Amino acid sequence: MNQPESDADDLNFMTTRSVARQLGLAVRSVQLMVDRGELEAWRTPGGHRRIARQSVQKWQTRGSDDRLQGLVDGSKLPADFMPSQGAALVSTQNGTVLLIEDSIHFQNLVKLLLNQEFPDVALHVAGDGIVGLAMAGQLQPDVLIIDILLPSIDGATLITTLRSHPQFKGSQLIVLTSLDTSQLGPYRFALGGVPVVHKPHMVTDLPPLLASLLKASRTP
Amino acid sequence: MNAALAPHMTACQQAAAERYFKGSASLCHAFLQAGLAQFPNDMAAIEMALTSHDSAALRRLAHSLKTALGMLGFEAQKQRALKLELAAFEGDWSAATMAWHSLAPDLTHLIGIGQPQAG
Repeated sequence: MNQPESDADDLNFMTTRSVARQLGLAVRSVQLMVDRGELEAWRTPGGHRRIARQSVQKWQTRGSDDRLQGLVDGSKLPADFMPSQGAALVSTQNGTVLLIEDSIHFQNLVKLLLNQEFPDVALHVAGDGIVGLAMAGQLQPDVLIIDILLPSIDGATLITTLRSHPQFKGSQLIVLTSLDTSQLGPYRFALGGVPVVHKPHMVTDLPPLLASLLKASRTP
Repeated sequence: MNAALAPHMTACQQAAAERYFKGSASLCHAFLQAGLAQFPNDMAAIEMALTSHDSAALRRLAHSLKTALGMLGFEAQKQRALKLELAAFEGDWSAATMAWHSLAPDLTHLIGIGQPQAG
């Protein structure tokens, strides 16, 4: 008899769907990463992949310097790279927003808010700084909402990298964080001129700011 | 939502919704439901970070939990998550383990009351 197949994560192994959500990638991309041996996994008797949490963490935290090169222009993206939401990598008429945020809680809250207040805006989500950089290069979003404490590269380094590439000149930036003033100190070098939204106040503060930046991004 | 969750939602609606959700009980409720579904993943990831002494991951996880719990009106649990975050930041694994042992039962309890009731 086959072993029962759990569709839930446990301490050591995760489902493909959970890994996709954590990394901000499409399920198919994660399946292919497993097949290429980039993530360590085993298969249930029914053929479902169960992916080692440790290998997911390693993938997220492995040396970032060698991964930055080529990500912005997409030249080093895997051929099968797909963002998690929306297959078409094009801006919509009503704007494209890229959220780079590792916390599922705040990914959820931004999705809820945008669904409620900006239903026509296309929201894409990356759960990791490196993936976010790659998606920014592909999407050329109108607005990037960037967390500071991110796996692989922090939000400040991400912003510095984006600003060093002219192709992102038209993208507006918002920092979304719950770090307090003193905790933001080490990252302040990159935050000049970037509006900061404090997470506990995001329901009040994010929508009007996003509305004004979306408007500004459409102004020639 | 099951009956056991109702008192928590009441607290959530009365205080947190006013303070953090612009008075929207429905948005607060949706955030709570999504949070309860995510807590088991958070717990597993924290256990992994503690086991592997990954202070950066532990700090991020505790930091996220702290903010989410605070916005949902779970003040005591927020303070425990803050202790975990600070211990992770300082690389104090003894304090981190103690903080986690204090917070984990609370999360388990919250997950339990968020489960659909049988029958």
